[in-house]
Amino acid sequence: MSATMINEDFRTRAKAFLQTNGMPTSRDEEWRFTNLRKYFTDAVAPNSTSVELPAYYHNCEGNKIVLVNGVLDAERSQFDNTIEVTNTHPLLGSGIQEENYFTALNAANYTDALCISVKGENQPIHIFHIITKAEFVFPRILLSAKRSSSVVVNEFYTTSSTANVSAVIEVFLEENANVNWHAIQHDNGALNVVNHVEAQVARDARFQYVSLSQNSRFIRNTIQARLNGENAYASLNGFYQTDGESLVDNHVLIDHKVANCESHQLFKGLLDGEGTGVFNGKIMVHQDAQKTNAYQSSKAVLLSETATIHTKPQLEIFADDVKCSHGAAIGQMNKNEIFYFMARGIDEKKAAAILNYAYVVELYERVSDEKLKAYLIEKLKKESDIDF
Amino acid sequence: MLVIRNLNVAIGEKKILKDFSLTINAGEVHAIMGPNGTGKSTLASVLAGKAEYEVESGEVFFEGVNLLELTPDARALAGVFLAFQYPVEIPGVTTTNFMKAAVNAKRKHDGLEPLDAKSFLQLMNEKRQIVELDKSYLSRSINEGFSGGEKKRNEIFQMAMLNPKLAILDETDSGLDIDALRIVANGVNSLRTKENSFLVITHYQRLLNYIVPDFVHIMYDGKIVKTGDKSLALQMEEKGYDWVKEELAAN
Repeated sequence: MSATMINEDFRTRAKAFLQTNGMPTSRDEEWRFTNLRKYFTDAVAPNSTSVELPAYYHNCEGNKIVLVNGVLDAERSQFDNTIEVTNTHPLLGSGIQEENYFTALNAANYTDALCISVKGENQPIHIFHIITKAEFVFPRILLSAKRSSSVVVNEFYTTSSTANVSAVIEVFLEENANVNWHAIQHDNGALNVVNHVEAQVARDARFQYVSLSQNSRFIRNTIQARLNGENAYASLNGFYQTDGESLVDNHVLIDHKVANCESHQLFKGLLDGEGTGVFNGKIMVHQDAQKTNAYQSSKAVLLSETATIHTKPQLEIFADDVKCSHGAAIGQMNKNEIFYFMARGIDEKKAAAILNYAYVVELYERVSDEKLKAYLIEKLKKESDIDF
Repeated sequence: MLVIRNLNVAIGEKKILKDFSLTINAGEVHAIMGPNGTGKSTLASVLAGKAEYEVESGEVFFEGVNLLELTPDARALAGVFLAFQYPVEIPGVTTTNFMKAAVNAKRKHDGLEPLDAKSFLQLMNEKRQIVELDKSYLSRSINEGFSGGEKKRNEIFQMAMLNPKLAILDETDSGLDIDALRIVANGVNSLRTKENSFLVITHYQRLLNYIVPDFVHIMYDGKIVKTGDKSLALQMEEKGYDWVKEELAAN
């Protein structure tokens, strides 16, 4: 890793922002349904300093990057010289169009950024976040995908006990670049994470994002794709599962700035216990973005009387020749489907397990890394007691 | 095999089955005909164990076991099969996986090991040919995007896979074209044995040209009002249901 000076300008601006802006409250439109204080004011439990790497670290091939509390662990990271890894980058900070409290908090506090540049075809890059302390940690990641390059990035979180994370990920896709990003947010129930992902997508480039948010305590994903060049494509997808008092909030934005672009959003939730889900999906079509195709679909299934879902599709369209659609469905376990299974001799519990699995696996199947997909589906089957 | 005695069933305040009685012995095919809204499908649903019906009185014994005390899955495992009038579409679950779960649940109930992959495939191939169902349907989500005829063929395929003792066909023929009707009927006929019984619920006589019943019952206002052989069905078709109503009124 080559050490370069941290871009102090953008850090200074962030510090200034924090002087006048505090942690958002529910009066802030972007945080209406999500009470941050409930999750971030808990007494901080002492945290174990040794956290095992997840099993997939030992199973995967390609580039492995381990970030301990947001800082690169050179010893346990392995990457080939086709990717360039540095701790800062001239574009750092420039991928965030609108500063908010958490992007600023990250900018003011991160120690080292993980900046990756890729050219051509690449082996997958696996990023393992290991959190060993209870104080806020600030992973800062930048991916620069050069012209016509393609890469898969798989991100995993592992903690041993209470962990508070504010991550910022900037992705720059040059012309005709192809980035598939998978955020595997599976944990032991102690993770609080605010995750801001912003992709700048140039002409003919394709950005696909899949988040799988399960077994965590608090997750806020702000996923934004800005389509800056013609024929750009973005597909933002997520599955979220909440139980107990956990919360997953997905705020998704696709920003169609120019003509002839295409975007898709598919988010599905499974909410149990007193869990809460939030989906806010915005499609912004600027006046010049004619011939835009933009599609959004949000589904949520409530498994208990006490689970909650807030769904808010937002379409802001200023061009007149576009195809945009959105659909939002909230339902419960379908009794007729359960009965159909039982009428064939399958007991109620198994029927529910199979139906839940079928509902969830649609998002798992969007993972484009075949090896990771097979690994995750196998794990899901085991957890869901599915034997086919 | 099946004994129904004085069964009274309601949905909410509305009484649907009124002192309904019927006995089906092993190897018999019974047809129940009757006008719409007379309780035919309610009977099918109650026998399969659908939750929203309230059994007020009466009893149902299947091979000596009180069927009404069993959950729907236990009834299926005991050998009762319902071919649905409106089979549901289930996105994300293939017919193959669905049948694997069902066949293995049955085998577990019978104290058998799960079927290995090869034997299961063989079984599916053999049974799907009975209803001329193309292989591709089995790897698709259950009934998703299927035509009416394909859904009904899928029901009969499932019946063939599970080989029930008593099969209840709830208006399996309604809305089918003549080819689909022939395929469905052939499927049923090929599964007829001295041990298996069928309860064929239909609105039209046409099906009974293909599935020849031992008994035909006319159902009206929640109970059986007339019983005969297959000629009764022809008489019904010719004279219409009003004939039964008039005859009842006259008595």
